[in-house]
Amino acid sequence: MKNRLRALRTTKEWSQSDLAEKLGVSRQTVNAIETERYDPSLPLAFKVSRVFKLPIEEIFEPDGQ
Amino acid sequence: MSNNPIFPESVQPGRHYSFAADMKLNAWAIVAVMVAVLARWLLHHHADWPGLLRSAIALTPLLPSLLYVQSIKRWIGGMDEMQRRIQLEACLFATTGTVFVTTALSLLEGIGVLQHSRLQQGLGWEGTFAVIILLYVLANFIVNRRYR
Repeated sequence: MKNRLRALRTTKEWSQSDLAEKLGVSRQTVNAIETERYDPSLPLAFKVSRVFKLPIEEIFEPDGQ
Repeated sequence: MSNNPIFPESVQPGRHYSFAADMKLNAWAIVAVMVAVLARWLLHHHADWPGLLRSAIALTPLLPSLLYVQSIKRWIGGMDEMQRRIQLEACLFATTGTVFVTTALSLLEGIGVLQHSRLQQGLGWEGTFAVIILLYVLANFIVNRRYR
């Protein structure tokens, strides 16, 4: 799954650790999502959506679209 | 999902290591090993004790072992979803790998290949524990690299 997490985070000038703290996950998890090595669960995706105040589909995009 | 995730690297060698976190997780494992060594010593030196008492002493390491399983469960429960997946994959690899090793030894013992070897009687609890830990550390390293 593709995502715009890194772009959105840098726009807000947050570090990976800042975002990790807001999401209640480890920095390694934020990094793995940004590098698209790990797809977050639906609850975590909703949390990301709430943190950036954007709909999920504007942050995450399924492969092949 | 916890708001204060537990970081697995706090109990692994490296700059994030924390003795307090290590003890919080592994204290019962240390107690289990100490109790097992003491139980073995007692049973070796008191062969004349009643069978019921000897059985009770032989089984005492199981109690701290159960408490250790509980602390592992709590530790995994406090992780975020990706860390939990990494740990569960590593645990699955370690347990299935250990079953594979013990089954292989049993099959080899069945055809007499292990005669006159220390492995003729199987790995024993110390050997089984060592194989589980070794495979867990190996799997943890491999699975962690996948998400790095």
